[in-house]
Amino acid sequence: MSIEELSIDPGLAAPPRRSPFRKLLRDPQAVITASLLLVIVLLGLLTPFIAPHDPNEAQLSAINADPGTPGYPLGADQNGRDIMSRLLHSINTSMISGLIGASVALAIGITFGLIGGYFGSRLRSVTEWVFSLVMTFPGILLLIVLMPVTKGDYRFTMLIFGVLLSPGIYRIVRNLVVGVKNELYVDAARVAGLSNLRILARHVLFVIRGPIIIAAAFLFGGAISVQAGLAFLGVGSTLVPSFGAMISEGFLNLYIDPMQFLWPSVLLGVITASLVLLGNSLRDAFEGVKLKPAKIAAPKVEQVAGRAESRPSDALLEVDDLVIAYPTPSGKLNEVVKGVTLRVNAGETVGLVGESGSGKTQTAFAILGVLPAEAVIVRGSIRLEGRNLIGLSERELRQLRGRSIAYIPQEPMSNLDPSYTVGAQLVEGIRATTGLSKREARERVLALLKRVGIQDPKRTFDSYPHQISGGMAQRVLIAGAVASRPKLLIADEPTTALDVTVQAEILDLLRDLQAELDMAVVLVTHNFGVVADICDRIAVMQNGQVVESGTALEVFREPKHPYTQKLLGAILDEATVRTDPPVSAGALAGGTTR
Amino acid sequence: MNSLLSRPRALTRAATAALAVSAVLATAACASSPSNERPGESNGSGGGLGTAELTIAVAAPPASLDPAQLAEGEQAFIWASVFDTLLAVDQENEIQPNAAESYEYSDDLRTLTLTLRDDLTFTNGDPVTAEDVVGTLERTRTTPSPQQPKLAKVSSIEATDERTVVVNLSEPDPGLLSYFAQATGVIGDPETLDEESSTLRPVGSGPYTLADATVDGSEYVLERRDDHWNAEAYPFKTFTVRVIQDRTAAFNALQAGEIDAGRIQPQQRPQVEGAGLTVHEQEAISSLLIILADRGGELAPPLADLRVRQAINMAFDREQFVETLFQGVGAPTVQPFNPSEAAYNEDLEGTYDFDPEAARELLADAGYEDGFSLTMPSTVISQSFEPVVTQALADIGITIQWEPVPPQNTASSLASKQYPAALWFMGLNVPAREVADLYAPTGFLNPFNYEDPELTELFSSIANEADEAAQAELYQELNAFSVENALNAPIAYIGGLWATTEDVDFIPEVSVLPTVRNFGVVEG
Amino acid sequence: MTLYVLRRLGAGLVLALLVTLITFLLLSPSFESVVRERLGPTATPETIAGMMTELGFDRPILVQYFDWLGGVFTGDFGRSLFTSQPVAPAVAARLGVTLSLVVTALLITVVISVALGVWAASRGGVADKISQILSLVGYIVPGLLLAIVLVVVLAVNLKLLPAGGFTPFSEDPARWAASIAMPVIVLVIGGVANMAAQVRGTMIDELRKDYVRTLRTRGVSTTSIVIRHALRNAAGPALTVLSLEFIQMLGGALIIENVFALPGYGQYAFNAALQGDIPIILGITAFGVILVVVVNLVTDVVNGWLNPKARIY
Repeated sequence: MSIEELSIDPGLAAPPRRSPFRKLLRDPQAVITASLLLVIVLLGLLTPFIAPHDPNEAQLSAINADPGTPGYPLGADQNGRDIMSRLLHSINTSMISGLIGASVALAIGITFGLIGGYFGSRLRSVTEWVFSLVMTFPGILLLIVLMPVTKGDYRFTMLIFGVLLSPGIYRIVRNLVVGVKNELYVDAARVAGLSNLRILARHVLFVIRGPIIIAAAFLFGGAISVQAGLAFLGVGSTLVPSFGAMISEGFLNLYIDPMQFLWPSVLLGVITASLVLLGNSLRDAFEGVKLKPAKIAAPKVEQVAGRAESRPSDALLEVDDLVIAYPTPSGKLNEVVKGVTLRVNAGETVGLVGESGSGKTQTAFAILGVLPAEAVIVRGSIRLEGRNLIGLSERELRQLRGRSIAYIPQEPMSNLDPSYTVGAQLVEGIRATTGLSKREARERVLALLKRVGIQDPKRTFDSYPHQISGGMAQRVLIAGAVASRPKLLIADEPTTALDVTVQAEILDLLRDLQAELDMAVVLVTHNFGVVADICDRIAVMQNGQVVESGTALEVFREPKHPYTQKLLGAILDEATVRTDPPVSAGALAGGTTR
Repeated sequence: MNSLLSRPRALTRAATAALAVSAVLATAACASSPSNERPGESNGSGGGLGTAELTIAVAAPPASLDPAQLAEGEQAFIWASVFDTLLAVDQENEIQPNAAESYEYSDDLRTLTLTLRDDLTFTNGDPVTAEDVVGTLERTRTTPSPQQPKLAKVSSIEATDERTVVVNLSEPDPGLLSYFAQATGVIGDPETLDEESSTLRPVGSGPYTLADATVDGSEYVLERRDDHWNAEAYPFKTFTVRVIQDRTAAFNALQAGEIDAGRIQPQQRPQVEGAGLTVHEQEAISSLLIILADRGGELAPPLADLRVRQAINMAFDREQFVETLFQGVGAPTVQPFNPSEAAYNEDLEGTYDFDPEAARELLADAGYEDGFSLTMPSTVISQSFEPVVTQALADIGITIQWEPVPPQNTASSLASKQYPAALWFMGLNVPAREVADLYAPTGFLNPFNYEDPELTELFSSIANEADEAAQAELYQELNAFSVENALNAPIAYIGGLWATTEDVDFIPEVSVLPTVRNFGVVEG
Repeated sequence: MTLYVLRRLGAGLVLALLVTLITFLLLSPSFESVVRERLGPTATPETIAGMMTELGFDRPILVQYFDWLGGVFTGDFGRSLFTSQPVAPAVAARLGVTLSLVVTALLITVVISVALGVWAASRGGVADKISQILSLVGYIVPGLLLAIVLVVVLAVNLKLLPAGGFTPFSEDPARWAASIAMPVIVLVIGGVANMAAQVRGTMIDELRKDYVRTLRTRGVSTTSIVIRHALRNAAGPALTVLSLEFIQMLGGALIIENVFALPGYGQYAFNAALQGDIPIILGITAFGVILVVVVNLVTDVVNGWLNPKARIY
């Protein structure tokens, strides 16, 4: 596999928190493989002192000597050469191959990756072209055609091989540099008058060091395997002891003395496996621990036994003492929602207000049953028309979703599947909840698109998400949410990602739809302005708790909790021209640090 | 050819076998005779034609089946089935009539008259005439090809009647009859020779013809022509030659019963015998020697000194070589000539016994008490022996530097005069060809064109000697000269092992041109 | 679309010309020694010179190259120096063997990898552990050793499968399957290690995306989310890996072809390079580059179909 694939796992990584090196020390896989490699390298370095024989010393009397023959601890091969000495010397051959292959590939790949990534597009297209040429060139052919030049010396061969491997590194570096280049700090550095070279050296190299170290481990292993493969095929000098040559000789002698085959195979296997495993550990250390698979399922519930029974209720939604927690690396649970209680009546609009991290979105997800896989519901209940949703299976929840509860997300673009047309996605939702035929569903979608204010519904229906604007995408998502006439609509910051002018239109649309369909709406937002516009009641959340709730009028007129007061102050601050003295810095600082 | 045995270490994972066989070793093993019995005798199960089938494995496909482009070696399995050769060499290495039912030299050895059989036919039904023979030979003589140099001394060829071919020579050529018994002597159909198809599907008059099932380069299926004049000598109705380059893969195919016969390594012998196969041993098919090419000391002055060359000859424990490295398949020797041929002289064998002490003294006498260093090409041929050879010479103070040479430059490495010495195989042959290769001024194994008045004299006597016994004596004399002057450093004869299934017999014991006639059917 | 494909093919053609020219130049110093090797031990300066003339090797390099190129445009790639076969059919036959091996292996690899990767990514837990261990084992066990063990056990000792050789599908499908079974197993084990990890990774990534949650809230079934949506989006990166793997397998099947005595493309290329069979080397290079260009083009077109955003035409 290519180095590129090995070392880059797009999007899989969460940013590292601790120093990667300290993390490596705590990873048993890294420690064991690194120690193994260290021991092997040490053996290689000590070879001149500990090898009993010269690797090419051939004694006719020792041909195929058994292990344990005096002077030949592991026996001798078919040319009467000491197997142990040859193994030890082969370690050095491997290591040198790895060093040369990896360093040449890195040197070329990094240099041109930096150039291609950092400088203009013309230079980039030249490097791009050259590297694609290198990639298509038949490598083995080149190695053999050049044998008269290299004289079969494995070091030259590895040098050429390094060149052949460099496109992988080039691509990694180029992509990283292109990504980093336009980031703010490089811009800032450029404005500050730093030379290109210094920017590259200081900022860019720092960013790419992780992927490079990882790639180096895989390159090293790759070069060792290739050298062994070529030696196995018989390319190169026979006087250079190497695992490949030993395997080839042992293979021939397989039926006479299988051990001759086994020794070099095992040692080569240990070295390459250690490098692969070490590379994996390095990746984990530098790029953060990989995310685990997220099973699509209803949230985990800690105490199913104690869960509240369903009971008749006149409220549409009752959330009672809801506690949501996430496991920390040490295994303890960290609560992010700490006993939220919330009530929503049919047809009313409730604002759930708080800053990011206050737990409002977690609460919303819990109501929908779509919390991330790691989340645990520690206790509490969520009753929809009296039926407790906590503990229901994904299948049972699916019956409710779309029909009874629906959802409008915050970021319109990422909430549409980029691979399907808008229409196809909406049709699928409608058919899943209503069982309409394809054609009926299509007509309903077109009508809905028109209803949510889209000028040319047909065209939008056939558009892919990347072909429509953010505002239009949000209308599409609203259409998707209300398609099956839900009783409760949960809108998570439905306007935050939009332009100010579009925001108002979307809110108007929501208000109209709410009235038309007689839905209850839970509006999750950080913006009191939005709340003021359309909410009947308000619940203010801070640090996972509802700190204040009441009718919109009450809360706006007489905010009781200091946090509410602060939030209200902030919108005034934002919305009005500065006629009042600014809110004191002290008050702000106390509120914003969460 | 013998590459299988002689390269126990394996360069040959892949292609190199192909090369070794097709090019370098073409000299090897191709000597003599296709026939374990006289032509005309039946090899089959008495009366009627045999119906058995035979599948064997070889390491390389034939380079071309165009008569001029034929190469000797394993390729002969195919071309010797498709073509008739004018003459043949029998098991005693005697030249025998074949397609030519008789042959006769003039007294001055400058005219050879061949008379063809009257029952030869091409696969297209046409009879084979003297004109066809002349056409084929004339084309070979004028086409740059591996066979062309063998006709260098032929000045003209003519057909005097339907069945008589007269070959005129500019000077006597003691090797000519053996050439006519091998690739040079095949009879092609001049009408189709220049067509491109003849490189793959030639028209011949041989006992077999290539069937449609043939896949060029990987599997050659040969069907017997039951109307061939000598069909009874061929017990196999179908003869399939599979190309398997990797030796271990061939070995696996043998064990799995997918082929009936194949070469094996000595170390594979117990395994093969355990699997119920029969192993047949050929004692000598080529010789392993260090060609001390630079006897004039152009590149390596020490080699000009007889004492140095003798010292090198004394550095090898030949018995142990054969016993351990070849597992006893082969024989130690100090002379490179075919042991079953006239040039071989058993009395010479004691000339250079293993004696590193004496060798060092000789080197000291020559002024090299601190030894010296010698560069040799590391080729597909030498690789398997490099460790032991390096060690043996290091023990007397000579350091060998091996310079890797790509397989496609193997022959060039010797011919290029870049290396004063080379570790080489020489395929065993008839003496005329062996001496020409080794010591003629233009010989392939004599790249520095070494000459010596005594040698020149011997060469000319041999060429002009019509009497076989007298010629044999001269060959022995030449051999003795080469051994005493340590012109080269022969190490050992290398033998070969063939493994066959129970019902297939492998006949030749000494050296052979590899053909389907090497195999027989085991009765009952 | 058509224009785009034509443009890409045109660029590929230029690349093929350039690569073959470089190969030609690299090979040119060895022409004489190749001829000597072809002529064998009896070669004399005269026969060498004669054959050089006959083969046209005594002409200026560029003239030779353009002559070769002219032949290529009329479908004539020349003939092998060492087997006399016409190059195009010979290379095509070898390519056929390797392609039937590699394509079969890749199809199986894809099926297993997708099943394993999707299973691991959407179930987690034990499924994930199993798939990760399988991947790791595939990485660590060298294909060469696996190949040898398979031959010794399945072919030589148990005689279940042929030890080597190739039977064309058209000749006998059952024997064809038997003849490529072991090499395919070796390739699949190596390939799955790579692909399954890739599919698992991108699937995990996809399943955590916002649109998955939104689809859930609309009552769309889990199966549809995983297969129709997440897998389709994960297919793009996986396809890129697949195309790289394909290209690598073409040349990388060399050792496997050797162990199993398959007359394949990798082995043929290696032999031709070792022998210096110039017409074959050039033919192999040209076929190889064109194949790589086509595979990359197909990858891009399919990627465009999978991912509307990436449509470049």
